[in-house]
Amino acid sequence: MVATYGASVRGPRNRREGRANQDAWIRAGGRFGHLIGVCDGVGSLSASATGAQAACRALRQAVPTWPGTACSADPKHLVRLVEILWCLALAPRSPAECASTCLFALREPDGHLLLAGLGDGLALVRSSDGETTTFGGRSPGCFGNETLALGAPHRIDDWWIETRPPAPGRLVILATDGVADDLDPTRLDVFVSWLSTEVGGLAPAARWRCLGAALRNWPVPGHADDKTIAVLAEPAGAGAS
Amino acid sequence: MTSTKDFTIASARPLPVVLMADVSGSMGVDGKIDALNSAVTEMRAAFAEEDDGRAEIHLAVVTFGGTAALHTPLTLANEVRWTPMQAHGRTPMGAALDIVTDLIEDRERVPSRAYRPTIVLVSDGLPNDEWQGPLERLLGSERAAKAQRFALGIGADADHDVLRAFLHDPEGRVFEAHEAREIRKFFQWVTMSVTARSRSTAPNQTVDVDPLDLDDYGEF
Repeated sequence: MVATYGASVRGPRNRREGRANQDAWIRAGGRFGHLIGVCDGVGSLSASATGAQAACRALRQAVPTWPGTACSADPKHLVRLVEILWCLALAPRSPAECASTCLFALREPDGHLLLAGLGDGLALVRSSDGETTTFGGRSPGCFGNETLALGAPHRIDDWWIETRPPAPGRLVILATDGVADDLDPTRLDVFVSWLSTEVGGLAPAARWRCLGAALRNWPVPGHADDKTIAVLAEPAGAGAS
Repeated sequence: MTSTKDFTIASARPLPVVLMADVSGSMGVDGKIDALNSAVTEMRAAFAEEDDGRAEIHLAVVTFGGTAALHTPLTLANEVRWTPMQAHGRTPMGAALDIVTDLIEDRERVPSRAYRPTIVLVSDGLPNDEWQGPLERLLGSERAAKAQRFALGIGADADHDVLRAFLHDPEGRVFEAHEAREIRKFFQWVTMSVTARSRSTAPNQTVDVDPLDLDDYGEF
């Protein structure tokens, strides 16, 4: 079975100022396969949390329409649909007041993997032989807390999109910038191992508590952002499921 | 058992401050270089004491006098080993602008998790090299163009047109100093603006500190 899990916590800034968590995440499974997504409401806007939650709902609504990577459909159509569904879900609010990043991974029933993202945060895939590949991240010209986002000016080509053929035993991790910016790039293997073995090895309720506690007790000095991680783990030896 | 400390960066996000200091021969007159050294020493000490902010302040100093050089590499403020600047030679501001642009565009030295940098330009005269091209490069660059910029003209010979061009902001203000006290005051204002950002919940955003309010602060 493909396992999906994750957690999201308010950062110290929103806790102190009494604001809601402006990150959101989703995990879902169905005939479309397995979906995980993380979204980060941008810039402490009045409706940032709404924007992030709406982005998760838009992902959930959009993926069942995806015919599958094997059909050679253009993934840009899928991200366009996500954007449209997101805008519709926000009405009557304007997209600009609800800006949100959006990263997602769809593990299709035949094992194809589709990953896409707009804005900062991190997507990471570890193959069964231990090789780790990262995607996304902050745009080259941006500093901390500057990002592309749904609801902010961008082109459809600003989405990064990756597809991967079926392969057993992969681990996919998505993280918002509250986590991603603080990861030591030379220690990503430790981060992956912690999530897959120590956190992933727990029963679901304990796993959620463990991950939430780790994010709440984040050790980086001066950290302020909300923090969200979502994980999709394929079983070793799995092909289609 | 893995701890989150095992895979995270052990420091707060950096907030880089880059000082571009004119140390041409004319700065050696009327105690200007001494006043500048003293004001920068005070600013560095104030930055070093900021240990509870959202960001940790890093300081670099690029000097231009005779040649342009990285006098102090970008370093955590409380780890800077300060060497007083010496005044000599002419005013190669263009070369200094190139050093600053290269520094801020370098993602190894200014990582993407850093907050928007601050650049402070201090000069008492006219550049003697080609500066328009390097300034256009800075203002057209992906990252350095986003820096918050301050400018101080020292004495009657400072070229305010150059300093205004550096600010590239119709509402930006070039500050003037005619005596040591005013140099110190300018750096106190820069210090207040930077430390206010480092304590802010959104350190990327400029915090407006009115320089006229500085009298209220007295000592730092």
